[in-house]
Amino acid sequence: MRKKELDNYSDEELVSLSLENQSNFAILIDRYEGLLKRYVFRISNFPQEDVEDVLQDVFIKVYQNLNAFNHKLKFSSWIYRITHNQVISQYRRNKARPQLDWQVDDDFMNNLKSDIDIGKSLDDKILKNEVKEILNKMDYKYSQVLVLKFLEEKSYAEISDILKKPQGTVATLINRAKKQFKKELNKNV
Amino acid sequence: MSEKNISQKVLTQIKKEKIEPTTKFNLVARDYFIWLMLFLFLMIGSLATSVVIYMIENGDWDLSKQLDKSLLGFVFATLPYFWLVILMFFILILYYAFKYTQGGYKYHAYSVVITTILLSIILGLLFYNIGLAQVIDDSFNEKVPFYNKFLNNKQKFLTQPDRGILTGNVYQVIDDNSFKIKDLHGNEWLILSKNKIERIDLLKQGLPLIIIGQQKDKEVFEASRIRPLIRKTRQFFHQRVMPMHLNLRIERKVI
Repeated sequence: MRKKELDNYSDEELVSLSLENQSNFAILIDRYEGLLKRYVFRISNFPQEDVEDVLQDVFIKVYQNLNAFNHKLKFSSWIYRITHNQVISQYRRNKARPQLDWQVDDDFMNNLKSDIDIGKSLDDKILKNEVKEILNKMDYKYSQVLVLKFLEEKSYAEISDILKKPQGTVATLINRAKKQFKKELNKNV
Repeated sequence: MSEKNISQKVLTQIKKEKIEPTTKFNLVARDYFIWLMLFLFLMIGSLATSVVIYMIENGDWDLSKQLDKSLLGFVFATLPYFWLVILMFFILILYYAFKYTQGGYKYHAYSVVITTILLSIILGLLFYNIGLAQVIDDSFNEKVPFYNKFLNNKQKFLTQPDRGILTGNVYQVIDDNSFKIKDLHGNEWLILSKNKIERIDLLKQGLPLIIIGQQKDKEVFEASRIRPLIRKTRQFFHQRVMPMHLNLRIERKVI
């Protein structure tokens, strides 16, 4: 099948096609490479080479477990879950604690502003620096849900499937993360 | 590695290392194994629950007054902790095993634990009603050396002559007012009844009795009330009343 035709297939259909012919798996890799690379950067402070090694391991794991993919899930949730676990494993191998180095871009600020009242009177540049400082200090359990909610723009159900936590727990974590964030912001600004 | 060729790199590695997707059979076998483990843990937990129900039903709770204890104090002193610990242990490992099922993570810990407890109670009642609890308790009494010595508090609790309660096996009937018993620790006691013992049927050799009264001397006990140490059991939903065995292992050692 030609690449152009395969591009029209859904992720879930491509999983079945990859099982029939491994070269079809390249379409899934191309589709998710950029998204996952950005995600790994967001939830880790790994250097570029390590991020690419993590990604390669992720795609190999995905290929090995194609038969385990549950079609009730979204493929994106499943591949994000594998990526998240791979990052945690990498931290364990390095005997380090997960640390985020937040990239506070305009999209993120807009998403955050739509959900949390972070004040409009401050200069955007100062605000961005404050936000970045607070986010870098936050507990990992909170920052990982904030990444998925405000940067990856995932729904509660998707975050639940990615982190393998009940939706109620995800909602609680996001709520607490927002409260912690606001408290720190009020202290700093 | 450049961004452009990651798919090529991955496909090359797949070919070079002959990586194959895990077969469906392996995945299904793994799922079945987890569910089989869950079933086994639930069954063990339910059997433990059935023994707890059996022991509660045979609690002799009315004797709490005799021992100057509140009912709650008596309950806490004689609860079947061994079986409760087994039950809690299997509920916990069932919860952890459940998390490894495909959708297990979607459920809160408390909902999994509460459902497991409810299922254990329902199945425990069923096992108790078909007589399995008694079979388990008897088997442990016979085959597990430490079971009675350390884990069955009730018999020890019922052998406190200084507090007016004594439990033992009849080994000699002297007359209508007196007989001899051997208690849990193998000590011999002369039992004197204030009045003529009306239920003479209780004085069968080897029958375990609970005697309520007052200690008169080192080996003499005055009985104001005598009753058989019985256990209520069920077999296929019919209730039966049987004499309860005392821990003969300890008796033999002392004799």
